[in-house]
Amino acid sequence: MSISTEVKGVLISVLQLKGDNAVLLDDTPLLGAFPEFDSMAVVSILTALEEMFGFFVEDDEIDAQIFETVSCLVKFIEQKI
Amino acid sequence: MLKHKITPLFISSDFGALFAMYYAPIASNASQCILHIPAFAEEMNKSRHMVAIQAQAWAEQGYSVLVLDLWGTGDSHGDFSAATWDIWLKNIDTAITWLQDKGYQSISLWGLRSGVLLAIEYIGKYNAHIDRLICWQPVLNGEQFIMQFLRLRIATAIIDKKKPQEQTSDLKKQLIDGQSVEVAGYCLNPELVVPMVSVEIEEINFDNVKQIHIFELTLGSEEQVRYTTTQWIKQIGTNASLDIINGCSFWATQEISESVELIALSSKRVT
Repeated sequence: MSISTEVKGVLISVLQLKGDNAVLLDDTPLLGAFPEFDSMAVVSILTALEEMFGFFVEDDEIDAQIFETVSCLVKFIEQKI
Repeated sequence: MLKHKITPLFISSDFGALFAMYYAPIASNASQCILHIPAFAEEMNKSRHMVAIQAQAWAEQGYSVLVLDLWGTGDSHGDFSAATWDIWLKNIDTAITWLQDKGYQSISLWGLRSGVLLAIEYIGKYNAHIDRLICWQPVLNGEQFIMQFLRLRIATAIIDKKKPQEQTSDLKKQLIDGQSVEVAGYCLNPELVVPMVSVEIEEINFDNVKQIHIFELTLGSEEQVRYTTTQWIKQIGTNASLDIINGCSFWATQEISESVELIALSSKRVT
């Protein structure tokens, strides 16, 4: 399964997205676009991705930029693994 | 008709009253009780729903279940900012004594997330005889867990640019130096965090625990076991069972969620 599919799965599950909201495209905006996307969600998503892909995110890598869109997050993961 | 009744109650302790929900089969000759050790901070709130469903499922099967609010959390006495690891260990002991006084001969511990770490430390420090240790998504590395919790402050700063940019390592140092740190509305007491970070599970002897059941939820398409869990199973040997379930992290999801499969499997394993 592709990284993009796995990432979308994590987002849908952590943010508990349902119906139309659960249709995530590569250019779907994240931070600021979903009311569910708060600091708790950022941490839950990072933790889930770390456990899934086996990498570790450093403090200074936690930046709003990586949560701009789905593809930003996917790109970030690709360069981590 | 339900075969159990639910009673909210307070258990007195040296530190003040501890709140608990007591699920007991009506045909009240139950000799076995399961004590729940909750998850940490917001994770405890998010998981109350799942904990209640599981407690009822076991009570229907003939087990009594006591769901305890640790000191400084939930409806128990005390303020979270004053809670310490040592008080929480004593809370478990108080609850176990209360259950023994009620006549239960077999007591099992059922931990969720960092509640498992607390249960493990209790088993090590109090040399407790436990029937089963039931672990839901166990936190086995206190340091990693606290670092992830401290990250909430870093994550807040990316959403609110006015907040100072910080490092988790600096926050950890503050705690080690004996200062409290506030994260997501929770004021962490160094006496809570520092001992939690220092738990060394490889030093703990599990000979007094008859069985250990581990349940892990995974979001991935493949069933992945976390490294720390694999290492722990190697340490504890043959009296451990592991189940991997595909499902959401109900202790962390934005909305309250449940995993029916986890309930079904936990109810099946503990019979």
